[in-house]
Amino acid sequence: MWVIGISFFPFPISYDSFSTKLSQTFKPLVTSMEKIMKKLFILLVLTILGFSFAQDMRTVTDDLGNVVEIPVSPQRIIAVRSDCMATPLVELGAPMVGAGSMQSDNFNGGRPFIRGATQFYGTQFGEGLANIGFINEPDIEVIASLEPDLILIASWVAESYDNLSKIAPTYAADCFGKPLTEWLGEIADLAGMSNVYEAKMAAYELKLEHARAVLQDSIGDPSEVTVVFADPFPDGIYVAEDYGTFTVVADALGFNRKTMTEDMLGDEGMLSPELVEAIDSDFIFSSYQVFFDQPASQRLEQWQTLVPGFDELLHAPRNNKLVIIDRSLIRAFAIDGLETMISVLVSQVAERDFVPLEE
Amino acid sequence: MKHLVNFITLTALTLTSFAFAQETRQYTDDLGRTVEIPVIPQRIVSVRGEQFTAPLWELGANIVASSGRAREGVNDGEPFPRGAYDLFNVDFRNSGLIWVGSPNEPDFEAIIAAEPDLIFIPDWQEDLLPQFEVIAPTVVIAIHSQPAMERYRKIADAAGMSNEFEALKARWEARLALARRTIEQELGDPANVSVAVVNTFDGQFYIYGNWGALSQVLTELGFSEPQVIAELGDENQEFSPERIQEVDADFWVGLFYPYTQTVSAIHDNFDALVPGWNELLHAPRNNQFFIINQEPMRALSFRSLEETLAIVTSQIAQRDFVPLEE
Repeated sequence: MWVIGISFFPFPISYDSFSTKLSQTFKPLVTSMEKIMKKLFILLVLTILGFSFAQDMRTVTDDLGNVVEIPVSPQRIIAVRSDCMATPLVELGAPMVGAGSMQSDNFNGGRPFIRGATQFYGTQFGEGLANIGFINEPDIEVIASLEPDLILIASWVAESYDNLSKIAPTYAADCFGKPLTEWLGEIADLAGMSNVYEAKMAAYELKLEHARAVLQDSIGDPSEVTVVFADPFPDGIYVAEDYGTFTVVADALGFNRKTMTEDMLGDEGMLSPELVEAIDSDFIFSSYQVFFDQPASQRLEQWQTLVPGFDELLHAPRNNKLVIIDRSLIRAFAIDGLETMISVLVSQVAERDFVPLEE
Repeated sequence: MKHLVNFITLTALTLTSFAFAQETRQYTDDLGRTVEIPVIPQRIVSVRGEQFTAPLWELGANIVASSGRAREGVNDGEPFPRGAYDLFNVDFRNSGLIWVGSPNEPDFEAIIAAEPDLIFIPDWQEDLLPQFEVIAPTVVIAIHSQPAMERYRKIADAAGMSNEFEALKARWEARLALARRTIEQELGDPANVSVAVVNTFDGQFYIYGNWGALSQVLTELGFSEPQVIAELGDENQEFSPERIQEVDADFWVGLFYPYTQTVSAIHDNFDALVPGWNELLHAPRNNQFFIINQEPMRALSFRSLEETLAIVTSQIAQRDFVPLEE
């Protein structure tokens, strides 16, 4: 059983020391009174501290097959991975004491940041949230000093698992390999905050319901609108099969989402620029990354470099329906991100007129 | 023995003091009244959904009851607090909030039964103030005569949630900074892009100098307005359809009330008002007229600002558009 230290009592608290103090204070009292005091003490402590004094534990199996005993309601969580772990914990309001970081001259004034949470929630390291080092190279000493009761790490960088698990229960998760909403539910469960997840998902579902009504009015059958997520890279076009909030919401709204078959993709999984017309759609969504100093206009140049005349060749850019979104929204591991993606997709597709692609 | 009794009594009182006796403070509301309110109210009643319930819910304040309205086809016909429902899925079945009547006809018996220690009312309900005051300390907030952020700050202060307000404000400012950066990178000076907030209903055409989170976002981002709208300041005005070309801009933003209007109905209204409007005017001619759902937008909250910011940024700065040539 894991026991958390108690810091808000003005004296070191243990039953023995408390009992001694009482004995000294109330020497004339008879033994029966001491028994009463024992019971009173226990009652007081249990009443005041409740479950937080002695944590209930439960057993879970992580994505590497480790069987881990974790607190039912962790109080000091460390998220080694920032985007898929720290960000949802911030959204849930979970008690997180440390997180992995990234750093770029182009973002957050050059200070370390929590990928996702800093862009989306403005979260900064500081009092109450320690930087435990780069996301893939956690600092074991810093982590130990934070006295965590649960450590979350990515299953693909689990070299430090043994060392970390000596500090606290450590759960390795393949957070990129699971459907987004499934993982958000799983991490909420690990944090003992499934109720918050359920409430937020219910709000997301309501927003979806309202969005579907708007789509039905504006465009009728959403499956008649083709959308695709595609990003240009020097060696080809990345066409998303499954990419964060974009695909979750586009599918939930019922759009006809274009994907490529394997035989159309090269060795690196990229679509050859010569086959670019295969992605032509009513709307093309693409992305830019703030901390790579990669504004939307730079991405447009990348498209032009890869496919000269691209904005005349394809229907979507020709009709101002290439939408280049901040990647932090697409990769937002947060239900808030799903809701914002609904707002953006519905606004683009159903709340303004557009020139439809004629197949 | 006396010492023991004192010790136990003192301990119990220390541990539970807040539950027995609320600390109070003086608060000056927007009518200039000095009201003695709890430092940390435990049972707040809101009589306006989008103005009080939404921000109090967002802050995590101790709200126990709210007004709400019922509308056929919405929330299974059950009452819901306007704005808070649209934005946060809060209704009286899933939130634990007690329904205290409609916003314009509050149910005073229900409010008494909710045992409030603080009540929020809008300034236009000043005439009902005596009835509220006898129930609990009542704070009057001016709705239209002060900026939304100032209004929200006062509500948070009275609710004892200023720290939470500042945290949410910091989060909003982080997103705003990123949006400004995108706009600067893509558009240069945002003042070179004109945006008009317009609407039509009941056969009239309206222009808006100030329409909730939408206008706040447009102002924060630094877009310009057609002169006739800029001259309105914070006012909204019916405008002659014959002068509609004076309102033309790079972008038009319209609004629809989702429970009685649709996006297509707004287009139909414009068709009826000014036939050929979408060829006559630059913004609709180039598919640069977007219409947004006014209910989540108008709820006083950082969440509505964030959602509106994402929509506006995506429409104006994250895709190409045809600029209006003056």
